[in-house]
Amino acid sequence: MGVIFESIRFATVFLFGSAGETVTEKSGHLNLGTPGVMCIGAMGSAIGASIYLSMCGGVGGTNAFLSFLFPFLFCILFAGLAGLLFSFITVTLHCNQNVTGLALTTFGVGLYPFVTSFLEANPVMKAGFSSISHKYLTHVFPEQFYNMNDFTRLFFSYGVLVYLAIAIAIAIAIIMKKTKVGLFLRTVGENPSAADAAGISVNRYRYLATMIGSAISGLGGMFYLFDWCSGAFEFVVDAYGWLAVSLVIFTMWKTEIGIAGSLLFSFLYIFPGYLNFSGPDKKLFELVPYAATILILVITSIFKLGKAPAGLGQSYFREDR
Amino acid sequence: MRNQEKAKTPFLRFSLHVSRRNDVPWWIALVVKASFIVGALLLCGIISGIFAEGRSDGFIMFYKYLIEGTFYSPNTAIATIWNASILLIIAVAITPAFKMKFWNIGAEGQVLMGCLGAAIIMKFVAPNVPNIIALFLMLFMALLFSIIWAAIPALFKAYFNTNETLFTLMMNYIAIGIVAAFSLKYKATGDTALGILNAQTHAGWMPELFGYKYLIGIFVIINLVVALWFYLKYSKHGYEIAVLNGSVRTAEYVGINVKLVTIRTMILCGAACGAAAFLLTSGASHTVSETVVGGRGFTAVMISWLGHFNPLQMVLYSLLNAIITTGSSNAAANLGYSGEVASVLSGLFFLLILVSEFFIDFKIKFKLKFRHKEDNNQPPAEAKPELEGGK
Amino acid sequence: MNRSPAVELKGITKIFGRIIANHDCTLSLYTGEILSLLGENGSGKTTLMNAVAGIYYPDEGEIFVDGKKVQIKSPHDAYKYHIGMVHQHFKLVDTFTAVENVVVGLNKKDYEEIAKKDGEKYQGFNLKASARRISKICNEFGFKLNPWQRVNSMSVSEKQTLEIVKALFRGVDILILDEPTAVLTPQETEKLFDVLRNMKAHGKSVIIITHKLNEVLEISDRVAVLCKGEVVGDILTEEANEKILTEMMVGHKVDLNIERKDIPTTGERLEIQNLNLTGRDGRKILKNINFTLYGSEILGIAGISGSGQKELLETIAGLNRNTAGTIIFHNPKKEQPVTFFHKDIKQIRELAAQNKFHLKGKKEPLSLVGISNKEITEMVNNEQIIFYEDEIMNLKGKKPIEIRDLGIKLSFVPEDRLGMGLVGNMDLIDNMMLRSFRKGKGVIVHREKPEKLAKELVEELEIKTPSLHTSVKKLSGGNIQKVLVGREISSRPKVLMVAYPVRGLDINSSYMIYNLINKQKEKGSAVIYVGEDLDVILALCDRVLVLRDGEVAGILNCRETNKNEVGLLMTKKKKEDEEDA
Repeated sequence: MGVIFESIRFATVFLFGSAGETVTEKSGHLNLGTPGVMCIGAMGSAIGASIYLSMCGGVGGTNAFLSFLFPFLFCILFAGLAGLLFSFITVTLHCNQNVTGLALTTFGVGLYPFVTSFLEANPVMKAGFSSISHKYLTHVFPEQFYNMNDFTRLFFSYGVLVYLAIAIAIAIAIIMKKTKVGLFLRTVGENPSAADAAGISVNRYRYLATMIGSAISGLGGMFYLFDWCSGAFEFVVDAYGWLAVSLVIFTMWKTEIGIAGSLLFSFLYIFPGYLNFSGPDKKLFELVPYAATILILVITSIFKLGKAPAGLGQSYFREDR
Repeated sequence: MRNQEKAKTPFLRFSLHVSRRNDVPWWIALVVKASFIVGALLLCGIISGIFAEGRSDGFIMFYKYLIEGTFYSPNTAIATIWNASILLIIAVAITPAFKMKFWNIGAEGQVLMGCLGAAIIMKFVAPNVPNIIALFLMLFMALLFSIIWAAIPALFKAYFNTNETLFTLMMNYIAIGIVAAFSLKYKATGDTALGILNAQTHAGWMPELFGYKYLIGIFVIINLVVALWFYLKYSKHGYEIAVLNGSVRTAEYVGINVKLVTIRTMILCGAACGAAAFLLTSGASHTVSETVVGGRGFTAVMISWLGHFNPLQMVLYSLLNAIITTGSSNAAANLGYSGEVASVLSGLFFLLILVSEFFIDFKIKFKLKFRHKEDNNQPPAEAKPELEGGK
Repeated sequence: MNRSPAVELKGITKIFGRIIANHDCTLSLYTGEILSLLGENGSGKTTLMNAVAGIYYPDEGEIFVDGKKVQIKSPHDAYKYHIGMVHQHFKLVDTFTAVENVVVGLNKKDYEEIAKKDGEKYQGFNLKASARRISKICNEFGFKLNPWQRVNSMSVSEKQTLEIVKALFRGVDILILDEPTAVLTPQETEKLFDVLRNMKAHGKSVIIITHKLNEVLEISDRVAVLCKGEVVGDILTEEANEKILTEMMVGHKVDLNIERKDIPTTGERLEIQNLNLTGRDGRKILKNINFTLYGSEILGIAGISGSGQKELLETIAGLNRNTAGTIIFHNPKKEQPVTFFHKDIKQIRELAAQNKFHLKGKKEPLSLVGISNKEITEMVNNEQIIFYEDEIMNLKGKKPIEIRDLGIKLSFVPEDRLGMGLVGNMDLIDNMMLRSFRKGKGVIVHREKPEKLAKELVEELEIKTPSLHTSVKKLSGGNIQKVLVGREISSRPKVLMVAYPVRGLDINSSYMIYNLINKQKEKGSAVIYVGEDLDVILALCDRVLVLRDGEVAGILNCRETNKNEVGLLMTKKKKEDEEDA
């Protein structure tokens, strides 16, 4: 049973990361800066938490809701800003998306430990982070409720971000399929010149989608810091960022499949530990998601299924001809 | 509805019109690039000044420690040049692929697999054979492993048009997984990783030259870079790649086999990455682990793209990146902030260089317009007619 | 008729780099009229209309809608002023359904306006309601369209219908159609025209970009003619006829001082028999083309753009696969010595095995069995190996490189200079060896000969370039063309094909190109010249082949015909079509 709880819980990192990247890629932006963005999100949540802690003057007197709200708002703020930076360079300055993404990853992956290193010296922060993480972030429902039986444990024993991730993934799927905004966004990603001719501002959609997508991806970083690591900021989320990017391809740009896909990826990550797999076997197990993603890439290209947004990775400049 | 429009017009209005251009004189491009590089270096100092703990000279001391950490002694200087050379050789290795518009961002994995190949020989064969044979076998295995890793995505690209960006990206992590598994499988009991191989015998180690560790490696890399540059510029293969860079249609018209060139070029990329891997393993790391390439494959992608197929630019960026990363780590240790600043500054450096490209590739028409309050039908006055980027 | 102008363009100028696409264009569209915009390919019709539709922003000039000055910076702005455009390349998302494509870009305000217009309840984004509205529009104007069909399963005509419905759905008052009939069958064209008349009856204005005269006369109220980026005039359709329009479009007869030497032709070079080409979408692009090309002659090819000129040349050059018919090449080799210029030793051995050669002064076939390569080289260099007959080869289905390997000197100056003929990023020297870089031993490219050639061309053709090492894309259009034509001619072609060689060139450069082509004719080459300027074709060429809808409409002697005759052949509707309609 434990392996399933853990898998569901850990899937949240991938689900946030891939759901955010899906939104971004639907607009035609291939943001290889996702690992960096997730780190920046984690950094934002850490900054939010420390601001809140210093406002309360320590661990005592923290409010459960505000303990969630501060890290959350700062997380989406900073991750969103990272998305803004990416959009500014690729849309307004017409620079190459791949290179911008890689530079953003380098930047973000360094920024997180750099910023959190200033927290290390402060013992209040360490204890405070742990305390914050144990309010809503690791278990949202009261223990006497979720600990009743296996059923309640399976569905109600998680932190608030786990439920939020699933809600966001479903919401994105519905928005993409059913709403006007989703339709417009898909048009921008599929055929920017058609979108432009239909009167949609390609640049505005790309900016907004990338910023919102980055904010969602950034929540993956916050989850990793405050839920999975219970506020221990020594661990860096970047390695899972690449898995999130591959999950987008693996799920063929559908976040509803992403819920199952993230579970699978997370299971593959958690499972070897439960089988007492030794180091090397565990490492080999961990590369299965990447191999599966390549398989999907190859199959879709051989059979020309063409699930990726047709304009992915291409910049759009109206007067180019 | 149209009346509403007019009411909305603000009193002062910006209008920015951007158009592409390709006739920038080289000196303007140079000035723009140089000023952005200087800007990036200044920004590094400013960041240091802000975060230096309890001292006011963080800005100026940053540059002192930057120089000290990179060119203080012959040893540190050679280490810095070695770091830059490794970046350079990987960047130059993937340049042929970029030139034919094959987005190979799998350099990390391609080098890492080469390192694995070399390390396998180092561990199992090198102790039992003369060093020269060991080195030769290591080179062979490194080339083989890297070539295989580079050729796989190329084959799929050529025959099925599989997206090479995503494919090569994924191949990086498969390589990392395989190497991590290998490192853990053959580590000594009690150790956490494979550790330095043949630490006593130095079997499979690149010999030192004049008592300096990296000299041979640097020398080989300089030759390799010149050779690859020569290949791109003077060989028939290089010519075919240049035509493909222009247009696939032209290439097909003049009878270039696009599939063949794709696969052949990626094999070459793999071989060059393999050579880098061999030098890295035999000359520096003497082991293999998932961090042995340490993201240099990704950095090299940025250097290669920003270098515009020009080896001199790539030399400059590699050197600057090596100086910034090594130097800022030194500054961090002395000025009391985290060494992770190296990655932050490196990322900022590349972002700024990227931005500079915009001012070279595009012409910016910048207009400020004032709306006349009394008479809306008057044509708006233009305050600043034109401001060209880079001038 | 209501004579208030719906749209007015004043002094529109649009420049792309060094090319002036539109210069000082002034044009009015009146409410409730159908205006035809007539002009040759490259005359700037589409660019001008793109400025109205918000795709390009004009460098100079003003646009007035209903008498008020407006700035149309984006297609969204254009819709705001009720202007919609159906582009030649449809702006549709293939993976979407029709209704999805229609509602893309519509906002709350647009829906409100639509609801108000229809007198219905505001429903916002509602695909089902929109689909119903599409069906209503279809009934009203007589379209057939399934709102739930995906675009990637639609025919070209259905896609066009969808584009028009998309514009109508948005309530446009001014609809611009770019070459709408190019992709339609005559029946579909008729239906489209009914729709346009219907729109006119509803008080909408239509601009139709076209170059088919019969359609202009049939559908429009007024015709505006563009020539070389400028509006040359407009005329009421009732006052016009095919002859007047042809004259306006092709311009008054200009006396060009292009000399045409009368030299006897030197035998057949190229025989095209029943050549057919099918496009990717299954449409027939070339239909039963038959003609013979002789040495020392220039054959002009005229036709409205998109009649298959480009495809014909590309098919001969070996660039198209889906072909049927024969392309026979005559290499005038009878009693001529074989040279290494055309054949390598391996090919010479193969031909000798087929008894194609005799030794100089001897009658019996030459056998090269048992003779060393060195000896053969010596014999060839001494011009001792002689062909019995002309070489006759079928080029159909051969790739450009295979044609080359056969030793056939076939040169092609394509329309797309930088996309196919030259590589913009490479310098002059490298571009010289684009077709010959494999020559020479070893892995290194040999730049000595190309450099010499580049130097010669720069001097002979007065190519203005900072140096031989300048990227060709940095040169001006005329100089780029000189580089391309110069290179193709330097290989001493037996057949030279040029497509629109003077497009975008100034007068001096144009004359230089004409002279180069004439020189090739004097040297015995067979030249195919595709051009848009009938004056030039009639002055330069010996014969002119008129293409119409991928068929040969006629071959005329340039010395005996005139512009109007050619113009009528280009545009006249076929007899059968008239009977169908």
